[in-house]
Amino acid sequence: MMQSQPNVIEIATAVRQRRVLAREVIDEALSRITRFQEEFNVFTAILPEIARQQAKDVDARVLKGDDLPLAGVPYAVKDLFDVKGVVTSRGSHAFRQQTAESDAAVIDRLTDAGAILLGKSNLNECGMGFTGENPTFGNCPNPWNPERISGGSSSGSAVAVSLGICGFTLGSDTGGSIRMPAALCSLVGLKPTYGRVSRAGTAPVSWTLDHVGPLTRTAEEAAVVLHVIAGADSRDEATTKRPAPDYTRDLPKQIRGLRVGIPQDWFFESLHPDVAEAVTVAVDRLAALGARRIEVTLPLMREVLGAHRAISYSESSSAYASDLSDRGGEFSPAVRTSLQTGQFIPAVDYLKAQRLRRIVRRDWTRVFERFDCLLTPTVATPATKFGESAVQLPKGATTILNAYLDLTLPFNLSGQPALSVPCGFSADNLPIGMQLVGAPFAEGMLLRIAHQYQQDTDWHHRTPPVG
Amino acid sequence: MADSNDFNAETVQQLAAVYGTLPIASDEFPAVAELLRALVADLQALRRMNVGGAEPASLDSPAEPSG
Repeated sequence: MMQSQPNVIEIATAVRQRRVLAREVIDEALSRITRFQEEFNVFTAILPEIARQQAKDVDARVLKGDDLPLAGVPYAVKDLFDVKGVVTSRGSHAFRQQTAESDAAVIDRLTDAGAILLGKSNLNECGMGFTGENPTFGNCPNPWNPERISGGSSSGSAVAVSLGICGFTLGSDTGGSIRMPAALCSLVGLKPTYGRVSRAGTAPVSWTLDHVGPLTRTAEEAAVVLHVIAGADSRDEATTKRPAPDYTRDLPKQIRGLRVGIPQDWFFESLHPDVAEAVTVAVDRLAALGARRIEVTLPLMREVLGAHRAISYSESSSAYASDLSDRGGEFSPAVRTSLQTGQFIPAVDYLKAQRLRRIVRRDWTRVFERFDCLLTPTVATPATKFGESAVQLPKGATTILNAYLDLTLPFNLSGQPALSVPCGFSADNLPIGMQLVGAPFAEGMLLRIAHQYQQDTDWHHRTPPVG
Repeated sequence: MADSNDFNAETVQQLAAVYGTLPIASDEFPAVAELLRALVADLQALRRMNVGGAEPASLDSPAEPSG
């Protein structure tokens, strides 16, 4: 009934037109969970009762004539999002008994739009990490090569889409946790502008760096999902009051004449050769579509990296202080150590980081006036093997922390929208992604460029060997 | 936090005692010290930077043009 790789728009259209029932879509999705869960540890909780009830409700609403943009589309949320009556484990033994009393704000919006929640996806413990390894719920391997990491911390969210279980998923991104696993699993991953999507009912990692966004196979699907979840929310005072546009509106527009900024340093300094080659070819492809290349330099990158470290360590240590005090022994040693480390950052460093942030916003706004989007690799290397702590790059051995997050975390600090889109494969058939970054609230521009690129390429049509 | 970046298990233990931090098991002092050394190395450029009179960025709707 359903294609091997579900498409958000095709499913919703078919359900709205009553060519298929939502409950049939969900039965198919649940059977795929049965097929893949044991090997991939995609979910921390599978919710068939909720899914079947929601499917029944959607079928009834469609029959009544409701126009549901995500009718019957199966999805999952990273297990940092609250679902009423379900444990929000945060991927940690320390939260195994924390049952949510209400739904996260984005889940309310998705339910209204007819999407159907299959379960809660696996993650690095407490969203702190980027490998998809989890000592409580098991590691979440990469469908393109199960010996490799899927990325993280939204690992299960990426793998659930990659394996064709979900049409889309939600992740959270504090330093790259949506974009990085999207790149490693050949998906589109969007971190919207800070304040564009509510985080109410989502467990924090670092309040001023956390973003919520979708993972999908295509930019077009991401636009549909973003349109549903974007908007002001009184439960999250960081959300903007400016109206969210229809993100699908400009997708068909050609990109001829758009200016694409290519940074001359930091982002291209030391890349795996296959990544460098794929991104260079992608830039040429955009140029062939009529985009103009602009050479740019983003200032203050080294300072930005330090500021991100100071803020993320301090805020996560503060967010988890009472939990660490009450039951520190229930965290894994790696997470506990990280949370403890944050206690030793002086307030002076934290405040200087937030002062730098104001300077970055001012200076980068000027730089971004010169082009319509910045283009960079999403990560410096394709997926590494589980257990590897460093990777050999042209400028020498690099920790995987630096290889995987240095190119994405700057835009958590600036709060700008950033999107990863598949742009090729390595010689050993591992996905490669490129990152598009825009001015604040320019998600529509990023989605348009990514969509036009995907219309001209077929990377997103490829499926993993096990999918 | 010292710029000299000479954290070790002993200095972390002393700091934890002086500042009354959350509990840290003695066998985890070395791991915290290692993380602190890496963190301080990454903070050097930020610490050297002159931020002039810039105020801390706002935390509510910080991506708005006035933020």
